[in-house]
Amino acid sequence: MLPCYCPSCKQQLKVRRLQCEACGTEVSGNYTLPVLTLLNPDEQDFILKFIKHSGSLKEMAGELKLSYPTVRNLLNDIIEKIKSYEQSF
Amino acid sequence: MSNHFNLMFNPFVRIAGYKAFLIGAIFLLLTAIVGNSNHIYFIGIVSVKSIFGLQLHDALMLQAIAIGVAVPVFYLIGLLAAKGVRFQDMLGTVTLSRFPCLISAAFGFLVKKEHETQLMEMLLSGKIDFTATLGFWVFILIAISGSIWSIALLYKAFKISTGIKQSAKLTGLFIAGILLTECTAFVLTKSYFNL
Repeated sequence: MLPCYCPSCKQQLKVRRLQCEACGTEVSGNYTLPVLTLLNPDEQDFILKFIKHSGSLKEMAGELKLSYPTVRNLLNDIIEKIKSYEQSF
Repeated sequence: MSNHFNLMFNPFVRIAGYKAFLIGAIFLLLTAIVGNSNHIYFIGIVSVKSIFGLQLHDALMLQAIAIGVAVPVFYLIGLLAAKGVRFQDMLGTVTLSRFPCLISAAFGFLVKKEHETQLMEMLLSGKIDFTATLGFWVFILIAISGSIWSIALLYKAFKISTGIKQSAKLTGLFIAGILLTECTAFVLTKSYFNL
């Protein structure tokens, strides 16, 4: 899992350096992590499934073997989390 | 094991909507039939009474009043307090939340008609003899447990159907819903029996 928070002070980490595996070129800067990477793996998996099911909560409920309102509540929780991340940027 | 235990106390994580309503309606029907044969009737969503002399259609009507009032009341509260509440979810989860009533109805045979006079005599004499009316007290324990279980399920039903987070707001709205349902069901029950 991609580390997103500082293990020392718990602040959000930023990307300082990216590297091309083919030629070894390195790009340095101060890049903010995308909001989706800040979600935990289960939430990221949920978002992926949501997209794959074209946003159909009913189909998601069927695949996850959960009720429709439970899936909707999970989605609402993720939406709230994303909103709070966006506000903190 | 723990999964089954969780399902007993919160089946709505897995089931809601019309499917839950269908299962809940079967439980309601069974509760009315079994309850009627044991003279146990459910008034509103909290009260359990042993009444002798009522018919099956009365038992069915009492169940219909309880659900017919509880579902619209909790749905309207949900609409006012949250976004995206679906009627079928409230209908299904609230109906299914009544399934523990079947247990109370099934143990209704423990209550005998003579218990009423025995209890009155005990109250008047001031001497309570639990052994003479043991069946009645065992039933009271089962009925109270069933009612608490059913109320706990109703709370989960309301929470999941509305998506409101665990908070004082959720508890307040739920208590308001219970009170409103009980008052309305009481009035409708009185008018049905022409009391």
